[in-house]
Amino acid sequence: MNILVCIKQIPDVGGKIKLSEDGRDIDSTNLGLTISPHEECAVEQAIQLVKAEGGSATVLTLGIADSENQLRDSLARGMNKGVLLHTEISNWNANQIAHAITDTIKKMETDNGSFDLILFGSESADRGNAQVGILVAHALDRPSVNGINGLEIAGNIALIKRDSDEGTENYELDLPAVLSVKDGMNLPRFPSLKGTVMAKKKPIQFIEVQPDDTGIGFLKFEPTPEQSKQAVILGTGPEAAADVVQVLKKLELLR
Amino acid sequence: MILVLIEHRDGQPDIPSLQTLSFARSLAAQTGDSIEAVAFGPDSLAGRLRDHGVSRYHSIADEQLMAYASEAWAVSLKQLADLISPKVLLAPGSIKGNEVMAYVGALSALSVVTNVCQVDAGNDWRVTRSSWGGSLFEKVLIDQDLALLTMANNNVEASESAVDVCDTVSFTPALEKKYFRAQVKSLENPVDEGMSLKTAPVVIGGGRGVGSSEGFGVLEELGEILKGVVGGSRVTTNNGWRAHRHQIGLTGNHISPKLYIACGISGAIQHMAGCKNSDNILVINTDENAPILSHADYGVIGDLHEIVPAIIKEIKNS
Repeated sequence: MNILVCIKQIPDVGGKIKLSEDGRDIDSTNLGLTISPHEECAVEQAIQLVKAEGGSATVLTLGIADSENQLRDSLARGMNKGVLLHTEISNWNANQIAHAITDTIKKMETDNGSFDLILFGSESADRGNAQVGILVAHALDRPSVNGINGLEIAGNIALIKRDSDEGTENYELDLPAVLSVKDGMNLPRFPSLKGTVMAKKKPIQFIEVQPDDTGIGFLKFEPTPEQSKQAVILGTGPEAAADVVQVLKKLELLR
Repeated sequence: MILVLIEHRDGQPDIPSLQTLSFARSLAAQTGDSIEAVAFGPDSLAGRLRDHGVSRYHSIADEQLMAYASEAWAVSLKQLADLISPKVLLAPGSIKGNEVMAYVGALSALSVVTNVCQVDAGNDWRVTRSSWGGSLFEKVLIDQDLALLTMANNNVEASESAVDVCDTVSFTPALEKKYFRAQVKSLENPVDEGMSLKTAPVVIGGGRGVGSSEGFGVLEELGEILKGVVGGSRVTTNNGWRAHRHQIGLTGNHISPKLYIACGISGAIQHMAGCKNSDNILVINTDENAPILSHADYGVIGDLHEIVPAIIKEIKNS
């Protein structure tokens, strides 16, 4: 089984997001990079499937040179090889990202044969457009389901579960297929020490990419109003319990 | 004209769809457009749609489309849009709404703006969307003859505003077999677990500071006394201290209780995305500089393993 997982590295912002002066970027000075929880589960799923079915799992990202760290992290968990679509330009929109990924997949498949599965996270943790997987599926003319909660492979068919407002939907898709994974589908492993050492020797292919002129014009970010509140400190340590009970009574949660 | 995709259950439009109609009316007030609706459903929806300001309802009642199929639905919407030329196609920000609209965008070579909170429809359209799990607004510019938008969830109330008449027009799309390659084969009804994180009036959340699955014991005890439900941050579900279905956060449950008691949770924005609709937040944390305190109403500084038992004792004594 040949699997490609596409991930997106984002600044690990912690509790508060600081914007650049023009509002067009996150001020990521002193911030590490991370990926979305959904994508961690996509990586885990690929590792488990390749272990069970044989084959190879490739991890791809589009981003700045530092994104190599996110690829190495996935390789340390057990992915086999990486692809970095390198750009120093920020704020690519969903269409631009999908075009660059589609072009790369087409080239990779011409050289090495088709991927049976292409996995994404259901939405990125930053912009959260929730579209790139579908755009790539459409461009490659493959079936797709976005935001899946369960996946089993039976021969040439992907048995899929997805939770919607109405209940759990069951799908059967012919492979090759493009799926976007939701957090909670599995428990992602942490990279082991041995895995981290081995990851340094695993191959990463670097490809330079440029955004085309499609998609939505991004203007800027703005903070949402509720970002500046300050809690009333009731006290320190167990002595504050009586004040907590007063709050519970005030909110009519206790009589 | 603004065309709104309606999802329905048991013959009634669902709440997110009615919220979408409220948003459509505020947009129509800017642009002077009429509101039409489309649903993969029966004629009988027209009554409720009229109550919510829809003057024409396009019913797609083709039997093979009743089980959801993303591409087939999208192709149908595109064919309808090609026929009646709306200025905007607006959908609820549901799993289906976002998926179908992404396909409509792909089929039409147009961009889709998801999680929309506000539209300023001037010469060029400036759209505000919710970004970073609701922590930021993102302003974008769209310049398309057909704007494709999906709503941010719970951004507007579902209010009524009836028009005199809602015509029903039936539309029959021309569909190839291949558009049904991803179609729902069967649907399992959701399991009724009684009071859930989403509905409980009191939610108690544990984070890294809880330390272990055993550490949740005192939170469970407080939960029982306050008739609340216990959940955890992603750290706790990732460490296996809590099941994933108990996760509170961007990628887990979105809660809106009367009181959320956050114990040993620092308040990463991904967690706040899941709990910021709480009426009140009480924080118990050893770190007086924890980011969660700048989103909370009340704070107690100290170790939850000492403070929570003290609260339980105090409640029992009072």
